[in-house]
Amino acid sequence: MNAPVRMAAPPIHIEACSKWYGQVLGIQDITLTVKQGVVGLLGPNGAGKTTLMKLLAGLLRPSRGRALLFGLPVIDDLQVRRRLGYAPEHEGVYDELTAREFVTLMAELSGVPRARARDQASAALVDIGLENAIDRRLHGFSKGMRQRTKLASALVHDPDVILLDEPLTGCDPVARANIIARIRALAAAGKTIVISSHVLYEVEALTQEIVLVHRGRVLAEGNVYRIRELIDQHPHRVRIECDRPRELAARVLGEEHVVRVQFEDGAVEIETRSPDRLYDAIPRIVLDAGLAVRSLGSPDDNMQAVFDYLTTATPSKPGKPQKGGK
Amino acid sequence: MQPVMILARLAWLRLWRGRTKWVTALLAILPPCFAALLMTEKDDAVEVWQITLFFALRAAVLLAVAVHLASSVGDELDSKTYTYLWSRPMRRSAVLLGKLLAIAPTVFAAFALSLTATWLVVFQDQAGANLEWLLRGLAAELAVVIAGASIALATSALVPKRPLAFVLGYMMFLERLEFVPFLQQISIAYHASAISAAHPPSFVVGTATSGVIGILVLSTFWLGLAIWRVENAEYALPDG
Amino acid sequence: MSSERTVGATGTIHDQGYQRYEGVRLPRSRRFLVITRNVLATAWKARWGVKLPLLGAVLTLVVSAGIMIVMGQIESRMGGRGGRLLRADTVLFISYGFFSLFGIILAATVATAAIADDLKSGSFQFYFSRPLRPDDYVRGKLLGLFVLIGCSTFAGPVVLSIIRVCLAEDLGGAIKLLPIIPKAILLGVAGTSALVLPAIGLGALLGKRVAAQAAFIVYWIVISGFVSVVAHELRLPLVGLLALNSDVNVVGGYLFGMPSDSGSPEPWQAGLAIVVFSVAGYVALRRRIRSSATAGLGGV
Repeated sequence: MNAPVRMAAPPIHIEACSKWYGQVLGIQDITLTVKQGVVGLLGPNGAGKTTLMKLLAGLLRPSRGRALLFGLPVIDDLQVRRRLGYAPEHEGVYDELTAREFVTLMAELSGVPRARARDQASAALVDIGLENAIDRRLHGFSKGMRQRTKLASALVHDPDVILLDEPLTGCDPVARANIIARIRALAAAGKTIVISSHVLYEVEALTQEIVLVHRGRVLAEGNVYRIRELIDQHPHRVRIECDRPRELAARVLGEEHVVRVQFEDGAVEIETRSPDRLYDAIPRIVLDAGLAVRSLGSPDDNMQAVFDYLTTATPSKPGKPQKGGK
Repeated sequence: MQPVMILARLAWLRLWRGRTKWVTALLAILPPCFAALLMTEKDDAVEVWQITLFFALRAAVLLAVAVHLASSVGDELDSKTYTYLWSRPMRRSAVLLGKLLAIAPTVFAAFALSLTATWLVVFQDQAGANLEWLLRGLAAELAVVIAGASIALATSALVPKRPLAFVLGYMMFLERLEFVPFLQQISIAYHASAISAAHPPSFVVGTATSGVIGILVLSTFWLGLAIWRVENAEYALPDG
Repeated sequence: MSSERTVGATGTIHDQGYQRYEGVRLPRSRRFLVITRNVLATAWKARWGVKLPLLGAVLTLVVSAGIMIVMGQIESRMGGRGGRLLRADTVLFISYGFFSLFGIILAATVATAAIADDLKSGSFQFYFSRPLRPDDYVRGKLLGLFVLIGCSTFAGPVVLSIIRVCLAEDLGGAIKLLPIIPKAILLGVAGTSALVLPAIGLGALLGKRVAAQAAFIVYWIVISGFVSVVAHELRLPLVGLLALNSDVNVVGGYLFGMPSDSGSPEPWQAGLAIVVFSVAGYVALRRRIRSSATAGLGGV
């Protein structure tokens, strides 16, 4: 039976949380709320992503502040952890156990009655594509198989909050597609899923909501495209392949929001401070000039660009946080 | 209690499927073999029993329980399986208690068989008349298993990276204090000698009751320290 | 479908800013020292397993030296009666028991893990993808361990013997006492070999640190004790050769003129047993390293 939940308490709430290990700072003064759906936790190595994950999983006690699940401190309230599923990044498992035994054990430890735990474990492993290896010892599992077993162990007890640290590492394309589909289904079912990953295009396939951590602080949070709009120092780039790129460029240069144009073979790349206005102008220009456009896209309107621009920017004076809404 | 039982099952399964059980088996074979060899030269069965038990309790039993339990925390940290366990709705100390519940009875059973075999080898057809030696020996073995397990778990919680070296140091230095008046109270072997009555004649020990009390105090102290440490320590290293 | 582009015969090297090192390189004959330094540097990081036993060895040295000084002063007040050489040797011999205790802890902590940890972590693929021969690796590891464990089991008794010589009343007395230095050296070499080679051999054989440590401790605490008692009670000195600690004791007792037990093996037998154990450990080590270097083994 779950602990009584405060009305409207968000699934994840981190309040002014800091964590240091002796002289080493893990995270610093992070305040964050995560609601239902999938959130990508991004950041370079050493940013504090795993520290944040471990705080949410109850493996670390905050040096300052609180980490709450449904309004309850996860480090102190053991019962709220029944609603938590955590798949860590590492490959360590109990090699002597079979996949079924391992996932059954995790189910039982999460509060699933013994009579049901084995069946639930079997179902979780079949779901994740390990039906053929269910009774094999984990010792002989490949990296991808271990990854899927870990995932099954995190999902077997039907948690409400799921923390996945690099869930797709070592998985082949079929397994990746399977896992991505599974995560989407869980999000659609109302779960809260936090995914920490370095593989940005995979996170992009799952969500547009990100939390970007850098040097122990939250650098940006929210919709990745709204965040991109806020990055003023890096004008947006739009690349157009057409039959007469120079003519297109000449017409576009008249727009005052255009900063620069650059030519490539059969294409022109336009830098603009206002991508919306540029997208409004291009169809008009194309029609007026009778241009044949082969492709139109933005090389930097994606998670990778946001990641690069924010993490390699020179630190500036802390000011009022910029917000971009949907 | 339920997580403790679940983890005890896990520890038992891993013990059964792993290779460390052979360490206990090897150590358990030694006392009856030792006694059998001594019986070829000595006529005094009581003396042989005392020498064998003296050696078995101080070395074999204590080491068997230490080998299994001293790495309790270190193993979980090395393989990082602690992330699965300690993110679950259970107290951290359940890991220690679960292993204790699985390992201690197993080691006790192995050495109970061993001591019974030793008793039969030593006393042969006089065995029935010397049942008290066996019972006291088993009681002393139980005491050593409990106290040794507590110390091993404390070691695992305090020095998870090099627990066996710490156990070795403990056995070589602190246990030698059994021969030093007053300080001998912190020695498991001293109290085991009192319970078993198996000691050199010149060696002065307390009563069986004082031995039991001493073992309970030592066990409570070390186990309490282990539980406190594992509940409050942060073993996780800083990483990204 | 044929490709429109064909692979050309030319290529381009792009300057990534990397410059090949053109300076002086360490001669091949000295590369094993890199391994040795690594062994010592890694071991020094361990607080409880290394620094504490070394501190214990230093304390043993200080206390033993203090006892020798006090005994010397008592003796000079008594007018030089009694065998002064015998007393010096007694302190040295007894103190060796403590030095070897700390040596055992160091061997259990560091020597058993020296190869086992490298096997588990897959370090061999880093070592042997470089111009490092397996023999260099073996030499480096052994030298590092001999230095580390020898700080207690070799340096301790040798320094103590030098102190004893220095405490002589006159030059003549010092010259008379000089033989205890080579005796201490021999005992140190025997005792250190008896610890290092079997321990590292166990690590190489078993491949896992915990298993090797457990096996080492079980041998030194249980099996050695068992064998020693059986050998003594049944008067089977050859059986006692299986206990390395008593072999070292026999050799030490012979060197320092201690009265020997009738049930003890001959000193030459004890010395030979130490050599046999040491060679067995070395052979296990060499075989494991050679097979791992060529098979590319290692790593989980």
